[in-house]
Amino acid sequence: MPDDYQHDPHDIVSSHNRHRRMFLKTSALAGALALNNGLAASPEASERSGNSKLRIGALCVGDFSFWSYSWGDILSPRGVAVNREALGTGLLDMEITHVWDVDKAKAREFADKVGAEPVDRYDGMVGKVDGVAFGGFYEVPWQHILARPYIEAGIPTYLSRPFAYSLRDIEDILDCAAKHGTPIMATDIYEHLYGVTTLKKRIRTIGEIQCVHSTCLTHEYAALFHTPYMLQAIFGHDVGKVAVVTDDPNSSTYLMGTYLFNGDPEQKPFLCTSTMTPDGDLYSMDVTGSEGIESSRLPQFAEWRDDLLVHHTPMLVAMQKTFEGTMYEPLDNIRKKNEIFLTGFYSAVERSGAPVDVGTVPPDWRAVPARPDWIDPALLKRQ
Amino acid sequence: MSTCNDRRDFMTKAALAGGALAGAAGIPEPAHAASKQTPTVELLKVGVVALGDNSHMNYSIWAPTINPEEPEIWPIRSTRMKITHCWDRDPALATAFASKYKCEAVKHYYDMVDKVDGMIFAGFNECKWWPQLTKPYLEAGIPCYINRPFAYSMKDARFMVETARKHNTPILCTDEREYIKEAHVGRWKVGELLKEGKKILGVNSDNSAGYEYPQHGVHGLYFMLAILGLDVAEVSLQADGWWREKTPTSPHPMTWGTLNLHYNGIEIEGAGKQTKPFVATQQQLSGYGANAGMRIYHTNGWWDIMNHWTRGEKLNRLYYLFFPTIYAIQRMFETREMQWSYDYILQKTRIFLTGFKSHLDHSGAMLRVNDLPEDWEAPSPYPDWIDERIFG
Repeated sequence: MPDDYQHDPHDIVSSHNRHRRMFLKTSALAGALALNNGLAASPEASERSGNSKLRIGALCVGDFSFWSYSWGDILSPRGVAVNREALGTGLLDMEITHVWDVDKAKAREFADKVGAEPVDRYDGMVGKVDGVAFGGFYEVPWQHILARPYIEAGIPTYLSRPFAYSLRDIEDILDCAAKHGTPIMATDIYEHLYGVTTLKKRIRTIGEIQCVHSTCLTHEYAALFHTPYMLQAIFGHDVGKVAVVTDDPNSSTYLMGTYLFNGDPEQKPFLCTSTMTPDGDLYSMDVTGSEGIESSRLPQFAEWRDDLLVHHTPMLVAMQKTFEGTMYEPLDNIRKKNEIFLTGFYSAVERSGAPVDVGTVPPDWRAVPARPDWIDPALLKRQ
Repeated sequence: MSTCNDRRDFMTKAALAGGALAGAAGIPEPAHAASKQTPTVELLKVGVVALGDNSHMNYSIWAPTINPEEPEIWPIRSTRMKITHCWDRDPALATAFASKYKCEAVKHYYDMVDKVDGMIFAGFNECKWWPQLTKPYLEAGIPCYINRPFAYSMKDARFMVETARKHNTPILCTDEREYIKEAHVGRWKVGELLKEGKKILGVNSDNSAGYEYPQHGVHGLYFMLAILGLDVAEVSLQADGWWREKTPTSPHPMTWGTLNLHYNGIEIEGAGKQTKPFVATQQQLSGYGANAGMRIYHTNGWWDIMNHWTRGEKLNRLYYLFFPTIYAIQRMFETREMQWSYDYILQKTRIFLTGFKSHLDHSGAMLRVNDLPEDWEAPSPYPDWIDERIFG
């Protein structure tokens, strides 16, 4: 079972170092990591005024972004709808002050709605914000580059799922966070659903787990196949094998993932399956134990307001705590989640859906981006 | 057992009390009691092969329901069949079986030709040798029940089917999870969904497989095929083994596994057709709380069905789980009509073997059913079970 979340930020470096030895054998960054493991805030991190909300930089706000889909509606300070309908009240202690997107027009459009200032460059908010959040999906293959200036500056950073498209990239991010002592958060929205904690409590009464079946409302593996993250939030990250069966991870007509959890002395290894059901519930999950079954499901919402409050807001609450300086979870959890995602991708495209041992995907192997030309490399040059 | 005895005691006493009451009151006896005549329908003479380990003729499963010689397990004659002859690789076992079930043990596996109306090849360990063991009977036109998984290669499967086809011999290869009512209801439900224009999005299933693929895992496969049909494009068996224990051919005991069927779509004549592909995945478990279950996700929700363990008297389990298969066997013997065609049996076997090959040769990757080589052979967990010198 997973540890409880909300860790002491001072644990992140030691935990990170402890669990990444295998990777470091092949990592060129091993030496660099040893240089500075301090967690002191970078001088470039700005001081927060006691009378204002946290100043948040919104990165990647255009197509396929949580910013333009839901976060904008939740954080919109003046009740102006970004997508469908704003909550109309200041729910959290965060204010969007700066915006960047690969598409400047979309950045401007979003900024106008939330009363923020667009910046020209992806690193143009350093020194101006208390935290940054990457909301997009198409930018994730470049996220390790886009996030680096902020992590180096000690600015708490939220990373969009699936966090990175290679183990090398995620290690790059984690190394940088560890070196600069920057709180980072990398979660999937389903990790924050109340069904996670509810199931974690209820499955204590069903004996030894026999099997788990889950479904997810999605058409593809990389962005919206949320249940594998939810499974890890419930059962931990000790996954031995992953198999993903699909015709195309980025545009699936069928999709099924299998995750072998290793268990422990009191729990035999057990399999969790996740099946895509594009028109069904947001998720469903059935945990069969030796002495009973526990189930959970989240039907699609009838009202957008409920969707925002129940589905999307819990993650923003955790994000705010990260921006306040509290690590959501150890860095190694992030590495593990990304590794499990990449192992599934590797199973699908390199092994025809065969189970792949977690820990065997080559560090430089890259998953296939949904939009490989989404970002012009020229935009990534740092000033 | 106390419940069972109590019930029998009650019924015996009730019957005696009723008879005494009837006599005392001068009530006329029922006609059937007065005539003392027994119906004279001729019983079908049945031969059985394979009586030992992993056979349905062992463990008091099928045998007492056909030859009711164990009244504490199965109290009444319930079929038109009677086991008259038997054979096993172990003559002592055959003799003991013959004594227990009041039939005749024969010396050679082929000795029942011309003596029986139908044959039941009931074992599992003998499956590797079904082509040889069934040959005399298939050639003689004697209807044969040939136990799952039918064959370990398409070459063997085709040999049996072609022999049967050539001699117009009906055969049946099935298992109880293809005949439980949940399989029939599931198939009906899929038809209803298609009629309503709904699409199947994905299927989850569980099968109490005893951590064996070719023996009890096949139950789950047949259950899925009975409900979802045969239009399977690809199969994978993702597992850490395929047999519950280490044997000369099974290096690693199975402790977990899923069987995955990638369907091209589904069509039921008269109901509708779905061309959208989907995946059906089945966890192959041991000690699971049901024999088999399935959840079908469709465009308007989901639908569940499950065959729970049959608890209580053994009679319950025999009747609700196993007996429908016995009736299917009798029906084929009686009518010489095959419920499942030769081609159905071949395709079912091909799907089973493709899963086996996925596990053994491709680490559980999805394999195309149509790409299975004809001569690829799966292992038997007990490759020396039969001394092949018996085949001359």
